Amino acid sequence: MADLFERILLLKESNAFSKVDTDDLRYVAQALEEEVYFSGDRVFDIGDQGDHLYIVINGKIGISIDPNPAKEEYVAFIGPGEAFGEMNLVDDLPRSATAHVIEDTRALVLEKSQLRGLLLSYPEISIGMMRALSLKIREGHARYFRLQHQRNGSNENDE
Amino acid sequence: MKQLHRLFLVEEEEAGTVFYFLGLFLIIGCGMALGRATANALFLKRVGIDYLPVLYLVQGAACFVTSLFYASFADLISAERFFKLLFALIATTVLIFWLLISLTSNPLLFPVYFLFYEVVSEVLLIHSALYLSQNLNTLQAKRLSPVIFSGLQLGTILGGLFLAAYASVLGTHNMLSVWLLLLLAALLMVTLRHRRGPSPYFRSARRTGPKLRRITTQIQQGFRFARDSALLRSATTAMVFMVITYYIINYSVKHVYTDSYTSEDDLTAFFGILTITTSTLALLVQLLLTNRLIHRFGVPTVNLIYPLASLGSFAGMIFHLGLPSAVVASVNIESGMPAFYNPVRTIFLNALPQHIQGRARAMSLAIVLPVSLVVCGTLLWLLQKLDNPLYFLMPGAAAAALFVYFSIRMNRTYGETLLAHLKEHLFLPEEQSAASLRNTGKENIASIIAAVNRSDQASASFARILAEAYKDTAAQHILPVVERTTPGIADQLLKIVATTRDPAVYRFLLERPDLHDNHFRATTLNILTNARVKNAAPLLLQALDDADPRIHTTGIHGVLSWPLTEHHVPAVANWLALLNGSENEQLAALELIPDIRHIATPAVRETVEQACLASGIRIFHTRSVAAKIHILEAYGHWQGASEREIQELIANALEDTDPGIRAAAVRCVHLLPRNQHHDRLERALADGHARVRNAAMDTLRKDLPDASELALSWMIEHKRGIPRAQNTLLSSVIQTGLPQSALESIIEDRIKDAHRIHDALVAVRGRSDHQNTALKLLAHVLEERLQQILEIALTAMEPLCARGVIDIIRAGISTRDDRYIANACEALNSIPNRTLAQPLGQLLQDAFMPVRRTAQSITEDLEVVLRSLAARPDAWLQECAGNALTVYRGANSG
Repeated sequence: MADLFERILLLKESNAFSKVDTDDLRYVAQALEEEVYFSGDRVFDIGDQGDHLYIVINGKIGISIDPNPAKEEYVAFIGPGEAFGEMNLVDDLPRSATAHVIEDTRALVLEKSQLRGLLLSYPEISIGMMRALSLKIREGHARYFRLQHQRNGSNENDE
Repeated sequence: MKQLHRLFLVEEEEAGTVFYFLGLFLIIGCGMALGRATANALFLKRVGIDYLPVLYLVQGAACFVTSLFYASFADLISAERFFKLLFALIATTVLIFWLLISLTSNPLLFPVYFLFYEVVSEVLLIHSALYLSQNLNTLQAKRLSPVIFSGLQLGTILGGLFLAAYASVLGTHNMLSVWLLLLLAALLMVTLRHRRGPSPYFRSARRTGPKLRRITTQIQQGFRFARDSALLRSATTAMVFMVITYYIINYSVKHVYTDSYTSEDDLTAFFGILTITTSTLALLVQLLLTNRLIHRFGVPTVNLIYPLASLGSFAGMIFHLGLPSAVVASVNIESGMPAFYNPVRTIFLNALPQHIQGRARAMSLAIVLPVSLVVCGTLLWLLQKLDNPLYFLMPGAAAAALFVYFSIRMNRTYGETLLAHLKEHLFLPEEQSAASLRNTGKENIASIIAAVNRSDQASASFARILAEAYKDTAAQHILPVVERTTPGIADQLLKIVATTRDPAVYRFLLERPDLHDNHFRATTLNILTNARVKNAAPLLLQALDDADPRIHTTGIHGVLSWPLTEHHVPAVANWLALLNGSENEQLAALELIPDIRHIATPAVRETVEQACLASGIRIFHTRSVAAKIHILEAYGHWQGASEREIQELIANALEDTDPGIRAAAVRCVHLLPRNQHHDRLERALADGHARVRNAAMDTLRKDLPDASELALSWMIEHKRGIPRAQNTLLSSVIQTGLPQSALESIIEDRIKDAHRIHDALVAVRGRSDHQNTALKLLAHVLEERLQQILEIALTAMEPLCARGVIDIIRAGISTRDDRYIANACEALNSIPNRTLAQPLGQLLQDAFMPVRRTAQSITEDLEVVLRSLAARPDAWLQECAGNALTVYRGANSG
């Protein structure tokens, strides 16, 4: 069973909570529930209404985006310490992928309504989450500009 | 590598970049040395110095045209691409000159070649600086520019050596072939370097419209920017006088050298030796001294070295114009300028927005060189006929003095420009204040009044602005809206306009006592009661019989507080009846707790107190959060003794998940045992909700007449509370005023503490491995603490700087973008009080710029570090450090 310190570290190293202070992550860590999934299961299917964030303690999850949830063609793998399903904590859109359990997995699960309650009580958590989101957007922009320049550079060379 | 860092302040990750630029600038410098020596020698010997002033005039025009061309394209394409085009163009032209000079010896070639060299050398220098700015951020530029520009010096030395050794062997004109080879080598270097990608900080200006239009737009924008930017204006003006100074010195010394050396080859060789000497000196100064001087004294101070030295050179030449003073003056312009002026100017211009750097630098060329060369050329052409050199040395000295003056002006605008640039790029708004609104036009006021008149939800926001900015006339616009709008909005507007204390408001309310609903009537009565409007007395007495609990209690409040003594007894009786009534009646009655003090008779007072306590406890355990908050807020005014039951209620409320309940409970901390007060307030100051933190601060102020003493004691003496709590405390006491010495103590103390945390962080990071959860978590906690402690130092710095400066710096650092962090740290270094700002800026760099981290070494034993962290008065850090210590000991004993 992941102790409080391990939970806080897992949260801190996930994308969504990386900029939330550990002082405040204590409250989030206390709201996490531990769940076990067996190999061959599916955590959620594409199109499902999502209400949870998952952080893998150990095991392996494969992500597929095929409209047929049973199909096991993976575009990404989630391993220990990594999180998935984060976006559903803030938006109400259906799941954009299926999460297949490749190896027996223990995961910490955070429910959306619990998080929202925490955000009302401790707004510093939401400030940290927004910082993390903002940094991801900046990184995306920077990557885009770099690709643009590389493309422009090769276009100019062609010219 | 560590020695490289110590000697030249180059970080490990930067070594590759630095060597590349050094190599490139070496080649450019070597080529320029060959070009300069050959151009000077060929022109002076084959045409004659008498034609130099005329050439200055033509050079001015040529520079102007070239700079317009440069400005058209400099910001549209990347610097490396522009360099490749430039090298190719210069190489082709040098080849043509070499062939023509070798084959024809047409006398027109030499002035044209001289002109070509002068223009090309300016473009190469400007573009080198632009190329550098697209590859280094501000702080890197400060550290590395002197080292990198020393490459130019080294190249010049090598060029000089080559000239000294081979000028007479190969012949002056054949040096052009060597320059050609160097240009091709530079072209190859740039091509190979940028195989993988463009310069990291290049941001192309927008390309819209046809090409010619784009070109003219670029030029127009460049001129507009040069006109509007205070830094560029003062830098350009200083540069005008620098160039006049330079060319007058240049002319004077060339006069002396031409007279001293008879043959062309001897003169070339002498130029070679002079170049070697001045360049070696420049190289040593640049490599070993300049960046240290900048680091120690700041960019603005170092900016004054070259201007003052130029003034000194003129003094020497006026005293005696001969070979010694000429050589000293040459040393100043050939060593002083590259060692001090060029790197500092690059750093100054780095403060300008990235997207306009090329045009900004080109505008310097477009404006400065033509103006100064025209002035210089005209002056020298007129004065050279006169026998006495004082006739051109005196104007030169005057120009040098003006150079010093405008350099000082430039210094003043540097910090402001960094901040303005950050502010613009981080979209930080101008502060809105009621006072500033007064200066806006009549149209704006009319718009605000129109918005209030709309009587919708937004009206309240506009009414607030109106009430703040125009206290005297706000009522006349807001009250008519109050009358005709819905009760809810009317209630909001009434509360807002009441803050103006305009008698018209009270008159309005007295004339309309039954306007809208009961809620509105209660608000009306409250306002009249609190303002002690005498004519409201009948309304108060009427309220004592009102069925609405809120109106009823307002009546009781008015009777007790004014006081209307003859009605006290029925008022108190009504109060007791409400306390035993329905939940709503009890909640309303509890609001009267502050009026307990108006009850004269002790026995009656005690009865009411007991009734209030019992009522509060009774209804606290309803499920309604609003009711709980209401009760706690009422208890917040309680002045009497409290019972155990109340204390337990408050203690539980302090841990409630609802922030409103926690905030209201904080205001009741005075009802808890005395020994719990500070602990509870300390925890509340660190709460994750701002409302709770503010409530804690308000409570602290009420407890202590001088909260600033507590702040100092908590922060410096006892180091109480986690940084978030300290920051809340500090932000609040700063508003009431802390003496400068106290703020400086806090900053110094925080810097020391930040160093300790930073050292601990380096030790922990160095030992963390991927299995050790405890150390990894501790590293995160230490990072957070470091940032929070630095945040406290910045908060303490706010009152010591101009308004808004620290906010801008804070915003720059929080972007986590190297460029903005660099500019923010540099802006911090430019504020007064460098003794505090500099170490703080250094720490901010270490904390927020990733490239700094890897250079630090671990010196302390980890167990010692963990034990000291576990002993800090910071509960969470103690817990994490304690956990890490347990794991570490377990791992070591196992």
